[in-house]
Amino acid sequence: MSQDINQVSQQRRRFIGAAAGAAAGAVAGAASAAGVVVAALSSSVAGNAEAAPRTEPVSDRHRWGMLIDTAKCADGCTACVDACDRENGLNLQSEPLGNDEEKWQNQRPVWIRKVKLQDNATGVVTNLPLMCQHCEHPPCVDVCPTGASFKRADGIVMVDRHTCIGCRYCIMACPYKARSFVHEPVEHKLTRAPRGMGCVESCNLCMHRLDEGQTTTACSDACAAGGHHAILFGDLKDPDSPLRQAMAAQPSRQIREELELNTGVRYAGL
Amino acid sequence: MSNLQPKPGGRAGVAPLVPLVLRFLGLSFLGLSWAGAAQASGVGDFVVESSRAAKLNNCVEPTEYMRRYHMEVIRHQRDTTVYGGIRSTKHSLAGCVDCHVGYDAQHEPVAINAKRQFCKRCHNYAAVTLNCFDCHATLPEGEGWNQVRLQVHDKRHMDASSQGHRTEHAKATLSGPSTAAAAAPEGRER
Amino acid sequence: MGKRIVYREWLIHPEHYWGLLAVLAAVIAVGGAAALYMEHEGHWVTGMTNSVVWGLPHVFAVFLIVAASGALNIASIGTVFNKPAYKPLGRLSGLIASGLLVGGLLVLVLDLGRPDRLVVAMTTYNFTSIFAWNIFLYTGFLAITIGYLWTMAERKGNKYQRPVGIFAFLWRLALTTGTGSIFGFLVGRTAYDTAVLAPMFVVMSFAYGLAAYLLILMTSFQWDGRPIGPKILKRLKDLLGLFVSAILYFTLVYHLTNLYGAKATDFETFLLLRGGIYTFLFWVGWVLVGSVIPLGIIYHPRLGKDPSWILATCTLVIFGGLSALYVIIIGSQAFPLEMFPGRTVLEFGAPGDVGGTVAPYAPSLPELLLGIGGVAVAMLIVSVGIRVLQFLPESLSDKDMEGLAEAAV
Repeated sequence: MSQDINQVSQQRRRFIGAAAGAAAGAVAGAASAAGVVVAALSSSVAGNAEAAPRTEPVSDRHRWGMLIDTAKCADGCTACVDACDRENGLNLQSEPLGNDEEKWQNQRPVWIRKVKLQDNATGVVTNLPLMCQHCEHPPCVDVCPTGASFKRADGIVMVDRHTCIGCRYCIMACPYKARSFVHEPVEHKLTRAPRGMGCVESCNLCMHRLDEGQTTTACSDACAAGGHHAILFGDLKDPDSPLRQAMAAQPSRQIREELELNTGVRYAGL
Repeated sequence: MSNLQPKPGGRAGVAPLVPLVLRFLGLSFLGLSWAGAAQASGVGDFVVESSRAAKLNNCVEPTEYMRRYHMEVIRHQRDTTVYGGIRSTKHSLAGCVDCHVGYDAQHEPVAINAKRQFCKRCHNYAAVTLNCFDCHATLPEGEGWNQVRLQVHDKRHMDASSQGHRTEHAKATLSGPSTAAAAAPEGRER
Repeated sequence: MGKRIVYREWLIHPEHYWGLLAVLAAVIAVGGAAALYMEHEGHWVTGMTNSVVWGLPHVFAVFLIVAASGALNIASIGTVFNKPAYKPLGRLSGLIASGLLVGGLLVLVLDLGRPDRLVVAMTTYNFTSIFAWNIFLYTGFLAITIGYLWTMAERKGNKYQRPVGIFAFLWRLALTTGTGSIFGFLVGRTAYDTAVLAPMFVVMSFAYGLAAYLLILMTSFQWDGRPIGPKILKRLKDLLGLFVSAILYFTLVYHLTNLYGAKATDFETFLLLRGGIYTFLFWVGWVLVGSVIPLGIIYHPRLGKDPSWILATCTLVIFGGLSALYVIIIGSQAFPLEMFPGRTVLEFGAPGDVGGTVAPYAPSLPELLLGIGGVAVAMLIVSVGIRVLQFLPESLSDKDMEGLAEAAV
C-alpha cells in the first residue's frame, strides 16, 4: 500500500521535476532576451541556488529525513544534543527558582535525547539519538484539536505556536516521547527559534536552515564534526541523494515499526 | 497597493474579527486626532529616535498603510513562514524588530516590547494587547546578539548551579557564540 | 388520571442557603486563584511533566464530565423509557447534568497551556481529532439539556419532551463514548490502545452520575425536610448497584483483554502488582472502596434500606470513580512507553529524564484546588438553580408517588 504511494509520488516527483526544468529553460530564455541586468540576476540566483533563502512555498517534492547508523553513535558523546540545544535556544532556558531539580529534568523541553540500550538476550549495548521521527502519518497531527500540530509539505512535523492552545494531547499521542511542553516563562529566545510558555514543541529538522537554503541539521553537522558521521540528513524522495544511497546500502528500520507510521527517521544496526 | 489589501480569513479563526478591530482602531486614531493637535502629532512619534527606522522615510509599505494594517501584514507573513517556509520577505517580524529596535547610550539594543519602545508604546496608547513577544525574540538578528546574551546568562547560571551536566552545557555554550554567529544564516533582510 | 407532581423551590432557611453559597463561592475563589497562579507561573509549579502531561485537574474534569452525562440518565429513564416513577426526578437530573458539565469544562479549560486562546479552540477545528469533536459534543450537550429542561418545565413544551429526551439520550451516549475515545485511540500507549475504554466510560458515567445525583437529591431533601419514600430510594440504589457491578465487569474485561495480548502484560504487571500508588488506588480505591463495599451495602438486607448508609455508598462510589480515573489517566501515562522491545533502556537523555522507568508524579496543591473549584462550581449552579426555580418535587414519599399513572406526561 505505502509502497504504491511511494511509487506514485516518485513518478509525480519526476514529472514535476521535468516540468520545472522546462519552466526554468523558458525563464532563462526570457531572461536573456530581456536584457543584461535580468540575465545577470538570474545567473547569480542560479549560481548559489544551494544557499539561497526560499522564495517558493515548500512542496512535497522533497521529504526530509534521516538515517542514523547506531554502530557509529559513540558511547558518552552528546555532540548532537549540545548542538541542538544551541541551535534551537534550548540552552537559554533556566530552571525556575525553587523548582525541584529532578522534576525540572522532566519538565524542560528536550528535542533530541541520547538513548542507551542493552539487549536483554545478548547484553549488546546500543547508543542512538532519539528525536521526533517525522512520521508520514503522525498521531500528534491526528489528535490536535486546532490543527496546530501539522505536517509541512516537505514532511516536517511541527507545531504552529500561533494556534497551539497547550492541551498536550499530542504529547499523549506521540509514541516516541518526542514532544515537550514549555512549563516555564521563557525570557531569552533566538530569532530563529521562538519559544513561549504554554505551547508544545519538538524537533523540526532545523527547518530555519532548510528555509535559508542549507541542507544540514545542527545535530548531523555536530556528529560529523566529531568524526562519527552517525547522522545522515537528506531528501528521502531523491533516489540519488546520499541518504537514499546509504539506505539502499544497509538494512535499516523504524522504531515501533508495528504502528506503521512510516517515519522519516530510520535506524541502521538496531 | 491593491495586492496588499488585508486578506481576511487566513488560517486563524479570529481572522475575520481582525479587520473590524483594526477599523475600530483606525477610527479611534481619527477621533483622537480630532480631539487634540498634540495627540495627533503623537501618533507618528512612536518610532524610537535611536532606531534605524527613524532615519527612513517609510516603512516597508507606506506609513499610513502600515499604521492600519501592520498586523494583517504580519499575520499573512506568519502563515507564509510557518506553512510555506518562506522567511526572506520584507514583511517578516524579524525585520520589524531589526529596524525598529532602539539602542541605549551604550549602543546596546533595547527589547522592542520594553516600556517606551516602539511596539509597546503604541500598543499601550491604542490599548491593544501585544503578545507576539510571548514567543518571538525581542532583539534584532537574534543569533549574534542573543549569543552574547547567552554567555552572560550561562555564566550566571554556572555560578548559581553546581549541577554537573548543566555546567558542561554551559561550557559547550561558551565556546559556541563565535561559531554559531558565523554559521548564522546570512541575508535575512534584503 | 394520576396525580400532578408539584415542584417547589428549595425552601431551606436563608441563613443556611447564603451560608452554603458563601462557602461554595470561597472554594471557587480559591480554585480560581490556583488557576491564575498556574497560568502566571507556568505549569512547572504543578506536578505535571513531559511524561505525565495530564494530571489531577484532568482527573476531576473527566470525572465531572462523565458524571454529567450520567446524571442526565435519570431524566432519560423517565421520558425515554417511560418509567413514571422517574418523572418527578427529571428536572433535577437536567440541572445537575448542566452544572457538572460546566464545572468539568472550566477545569479542563483553565488547565490549558494557553487558556487565553480558547477562542482559537472554538473557531479552528481539526476534525480528525476526537478532542475537536468533543468541543461540539460538550457545547451541544449543554444546549440540548437546557432545551430538555424547558420541555419538562413548560407546559407548551411538554409534547416535545419525548423526542427531545430521546435525542438527549443518544447525544449523551455519544458524549461519553467521545470522552472515552480521547484515551481509547492513542495507539502509542499500551494502556489506552483498546476500544473497550469507550463502553467502559459509558458504564462509569451511569454509575458516577447516579451517585452524584442521589447524593444531591438526598442532601437537598434532607435539608429541606422533604420526604423520600423507601420505594423510590430502593429503585435508585438498586440501579446504582447494577451500574457499579457493570463497572466491575468492564474492568475485568479490560484487564483480561490486556492480559491475553502478550504485548500488554508488562503494563498489567505494573498496574495490578507493582505500580505503587496506582496499584493501591486500583485495588483499594477502584475495586474495594469504589465497587465491592458499595455493592455490599446496597445488597445488605438492613444497611441497604438505611438512607444514611445509601448516602455513604454514593460518597464511596464517587471516591472510587476519582480513583479509577486517576489510575486510568495518570497511571497509564506514568508507565513507560515501550519503544525498544527486548531491550533495557540504560539511559534516556540527561540524568533524571524519564525513559524506560516509571514517571514520577505528585499532584500539587494548586491542581487539587483547581479540581475542587470545579466541583464547587457545579454545586453552586445546582444550589442556585433549585433555590430560584422549581426543580425539586415537593415530595417523593411512597404515598405521593403511588398515584403517578403509567401514562402521565
